[in-house]
Amino acid sequence: MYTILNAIRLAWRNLLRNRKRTLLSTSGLAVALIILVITDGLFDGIIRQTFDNMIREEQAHVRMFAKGYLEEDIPGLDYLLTNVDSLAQRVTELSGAKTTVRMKMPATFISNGEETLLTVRGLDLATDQNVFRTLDHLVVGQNLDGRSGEALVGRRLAKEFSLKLNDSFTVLRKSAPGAMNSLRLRVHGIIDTGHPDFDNNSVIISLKDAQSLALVKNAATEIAILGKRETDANRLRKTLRTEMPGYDWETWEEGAEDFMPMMRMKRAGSAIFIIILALVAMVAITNTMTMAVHERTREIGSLRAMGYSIRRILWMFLLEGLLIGFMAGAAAVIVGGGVTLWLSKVGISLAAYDDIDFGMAISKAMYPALTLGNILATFVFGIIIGGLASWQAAWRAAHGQVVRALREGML
Amino acid sequence: MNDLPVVHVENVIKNYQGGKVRALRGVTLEVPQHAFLALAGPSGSGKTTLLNIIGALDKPDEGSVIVADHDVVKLNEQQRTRLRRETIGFVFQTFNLVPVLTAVENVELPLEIIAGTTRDSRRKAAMDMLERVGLKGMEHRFPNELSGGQQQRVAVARALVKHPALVLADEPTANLDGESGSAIIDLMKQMRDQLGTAFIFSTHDPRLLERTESVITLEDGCIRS
Repeated sequence: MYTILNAIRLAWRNLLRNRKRTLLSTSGLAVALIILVITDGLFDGIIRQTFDNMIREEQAHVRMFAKGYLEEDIPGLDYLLTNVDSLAQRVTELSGAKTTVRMKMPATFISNGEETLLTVRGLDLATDQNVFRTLDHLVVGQNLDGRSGEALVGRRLAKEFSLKLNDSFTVLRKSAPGAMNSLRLRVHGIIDTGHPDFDNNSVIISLKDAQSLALVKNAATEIAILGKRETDANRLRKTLRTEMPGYDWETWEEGAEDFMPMMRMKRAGSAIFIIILALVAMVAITNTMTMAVHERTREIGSLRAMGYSIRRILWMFLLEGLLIGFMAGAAAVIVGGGVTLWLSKVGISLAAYDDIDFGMAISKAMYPALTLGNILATFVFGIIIGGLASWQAAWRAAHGQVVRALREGML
Repeated sequence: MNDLPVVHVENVIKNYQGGKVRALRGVTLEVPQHAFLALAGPSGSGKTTLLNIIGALDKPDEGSVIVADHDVVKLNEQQRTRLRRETIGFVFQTFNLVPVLTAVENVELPLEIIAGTTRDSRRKAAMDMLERVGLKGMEHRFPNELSGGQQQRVAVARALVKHPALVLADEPTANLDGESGSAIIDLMKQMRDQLGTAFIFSTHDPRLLERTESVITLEDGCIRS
């Protein structure tokens, strides 16, 4: 029986007839596929890193709010959780998850006669690091130690307002009872989290100071809950919502909703670019296969004469295209996968783009992610492109007139 | 095997270019089994067209063509492909060997598409056939490592390896020098004697016609003698 191995052997040898041409068309597709692997890895890495930063800086897995808080356009102090110590304890008992209390409120920042609107975040210093990494990102000075009047500021905010350690500034806002209130704070440290909301326009203070700015006691805007895995978020919320009705709950995925359309757009933009590259590579393969058919017309005629069916001739040429796709795909897996893996270890430094706000919670370096799914998809994509690109030439070879092929060397 | 002719062509007409070129004008021909028949005639006389029609590569406009009990005119594309695969061998003027395959691999090609053959049986049959055509020791050479005469011997082996009832050879000696051409004709005759395969070949070389048993001369699409 005619075996697939014989067919592959013949296709391979046919490809080697014109090595330079085969190499060129394979390289073209390989380059497109390598870029695809790296770009995909980059986007996946950014998404993963961004989600990780979102979870470990601000979202946690689930957050608990007072009923009505999430309906607010700019959440303030109208909907506060009260008796937060016992609430947090109850959440921990019910879920087994780690919890911390935070107070987040917009405020006016005033320094050296200049002012801006930013977010004041009050952190429970005893438990915050159980859930978040915010306090791990100190780059200058010292962390908060619970003394009143100390603050951490984001790196970019410090840069914009030329804030140095021990510089003083004021935050001002309307308190929960309604009266304006202010706090005089001193820069105790500067943080660099990679999360734009923290680095650009946040002042971090102790929960006690935040409560004193809001003129409330044992109240806060949210309780953040960190389970074992991010995929547990929905299950965690369901349990807590059932056991503790009358509150608003938000999972990290819901918190990341604004970010996803932007990522999808960027990914679509990149996909268009890659499709254009793939099309160019396809044209090169089509050209290679058309030339191959043209050069082997008499051979095709002979094979048809000796009883090779149309389908077999079609497959013979398709196989050559598929082999080109296979080789390009393999190159993409090895080279693209290798580069992505290497970059995932060393990272792509963003130090040179220090002043650029990417609008995403990425750190000072991007770490592409290499996934088996992406690698396999690219490999299969390469083979499909090879097949599609050779289809027209293969069809022509298979359906040409045998008599004309033998006599005139034309199909 | 019965005594029916291997080829029976009756009143075959073939026109090209909408009737402007009349390639065959009512050809009738009967080729017995084990025949060794030459189709002679000048270029354009219709030799190749007749071979193509007998070989189920082309269909006549009119007339009937019976090859090994098969009515070629009534067969569809698939059936004609099967007829060629199982019953007819071809030898071409330009050899048409696959250059990326060795001699033995080229000879194996027709067997690869016949159901029921194994890799070992294919290799054995191809080696045997190459030995028969005098190419023992050259089985693993590629076509470009063989002379024209040797390449045509490979082509003959390729045509015969499946033991067809009929081999059609279109100008098999046209690309060979006189000595090699004569050797190929002698080889085909020898194979006919050994295997009992009928051979029909076209030529316009008068020196080769002397070596054949019967000659049919075509002129302007008609049989003259």
